[in-house]
Amino acid sequence: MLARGYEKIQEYLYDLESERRVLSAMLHAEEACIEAHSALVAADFYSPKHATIFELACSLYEREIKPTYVEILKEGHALGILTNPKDIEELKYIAEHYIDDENIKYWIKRVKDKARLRKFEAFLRRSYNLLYENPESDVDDILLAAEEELTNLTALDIDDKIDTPEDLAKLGYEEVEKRFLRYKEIKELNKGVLPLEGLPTGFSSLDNITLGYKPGDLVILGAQTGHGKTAFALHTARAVAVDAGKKVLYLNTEMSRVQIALRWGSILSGIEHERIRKGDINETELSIIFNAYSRLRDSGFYSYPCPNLTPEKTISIARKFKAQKNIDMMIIDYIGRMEKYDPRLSEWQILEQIVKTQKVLAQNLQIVVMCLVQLNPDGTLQGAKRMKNECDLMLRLSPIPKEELAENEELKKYLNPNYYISIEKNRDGKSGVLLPIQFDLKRQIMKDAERIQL
Amino acid sequence: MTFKEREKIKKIYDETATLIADLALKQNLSQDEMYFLLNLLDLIVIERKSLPLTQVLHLWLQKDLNPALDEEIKNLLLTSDLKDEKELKKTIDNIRRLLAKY
Repeated sequence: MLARGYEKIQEYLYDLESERRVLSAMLHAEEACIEAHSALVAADFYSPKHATIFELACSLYEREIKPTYVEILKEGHALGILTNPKDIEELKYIAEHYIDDENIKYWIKRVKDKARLRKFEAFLRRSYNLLYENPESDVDDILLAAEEELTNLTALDIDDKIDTPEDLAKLGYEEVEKRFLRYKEIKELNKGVLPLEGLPTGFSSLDNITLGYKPGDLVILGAQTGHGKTAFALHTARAVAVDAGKKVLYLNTEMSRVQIALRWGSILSGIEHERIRKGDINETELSIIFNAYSRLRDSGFYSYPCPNLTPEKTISIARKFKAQKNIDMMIIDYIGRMEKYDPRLSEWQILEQIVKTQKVLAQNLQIVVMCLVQLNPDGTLQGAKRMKNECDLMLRLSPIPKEELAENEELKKYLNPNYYISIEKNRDGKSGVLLPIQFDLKRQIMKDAERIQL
Repeated sequence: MTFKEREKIKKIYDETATLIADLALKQNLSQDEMYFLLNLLDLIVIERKSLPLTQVLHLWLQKDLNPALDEEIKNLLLTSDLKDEKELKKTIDNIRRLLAKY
């Protein structure tokens, strides 16, 4: 009776057709590779052959090779995996039966659900065997262990981990101890300069307060139109991708490839942007600019000009670049120009949706996402409160009013400050701080405003 | 291209790739020969930028060359990286030069 029921259940534990659909889509469409690579692991496939093909496709995709039928054959042959004519037949069957139905998410879910079901079935079997083999075990212990295992299975993401009090206490102590030792070391060796926990911001003053942009952080930078949003974005990209050698993906909704490339020439050479744009430079400057572009060539800066950017597209692009380039940061310049989710929603609702999506993306991929937003002419931001709730760090870039420059005694201690970075929110530290900076509009360069030595 | 034509090309692609892999498994093709033929298939069907190469291959097939020359051309092809456009062009030029001798 039990054996018959077991046989019947087995039929529900896998869905080979869905597995083939996923693999077939991966062999034919990049979008499917992005989705499957991010949502599935080889163990989610019931068929070992399918798991192998999935691993081959992912491995090729991570190396930026389109996982076509031919490439899979070559890779499998090179690794000595696809050595049986039956394996090739199965792969051919998968390649042949591609249906472009744009339902990849549905098939991925089917594969994932079946994998979870198999885990549940294994759990039931283990529990049954436990009872059968140890009938005198403590009931409370058995139920408690079963409950914990079941909780992990029912969680949406199988990899979710629930921290026990012991886990959290251990983690907390280790973190404090690490910071204590680091602080001691800084005081003794580094003359008080704090090392960063995340990516450099490009400003020492901002680094000191934030300790850098950390993986999983959503950073929002607001500025009025024409007041340095792109300059700030590229300044950040310079600090992270050129100076620190980390990898940044820059999505620009407004500028062309040429415009972005020319901006870099100015930023890295220190020569006025307008002169570079016109070509009004001499031989020496041309040589300086050549060296500047050599630095860009060796950097981790990836640019993706994308006038029709949608929130959905940012997810796909970020996943692709995470898989293929292992990016540390993504900058979106800027979200006001992104295509709308739903034309019936008002502006602030759309912005809130976008920001929420980006926060989840930053956490899932463990990258920093920086979103640039446009402030209203009066300096306010639509949906600011809700955006503030979602982000980890909210910054505002604005020019220092002339009257303030003339009257503020504190500002007089700095050399030619002309802009403020205002920290509106900082989840990990101090906020409500104004940091004076120097923004050289002609060269598109930003830096900390230096304190005048008295 | 119509849907039917696309389907037909896809079928030829799948069948040809399987045939090449099968021949390699049965050791009727060496590993280098298999890689070359699979790469050529991708170049023609997926990349669609192989016209000069296919032209020279047709030319080669039409000629009745001596075995030594055939072997020389084959070696040129097997050692050429088809994805490197400069190298491919050089290989095509070299084959044309060899074919022009006869």
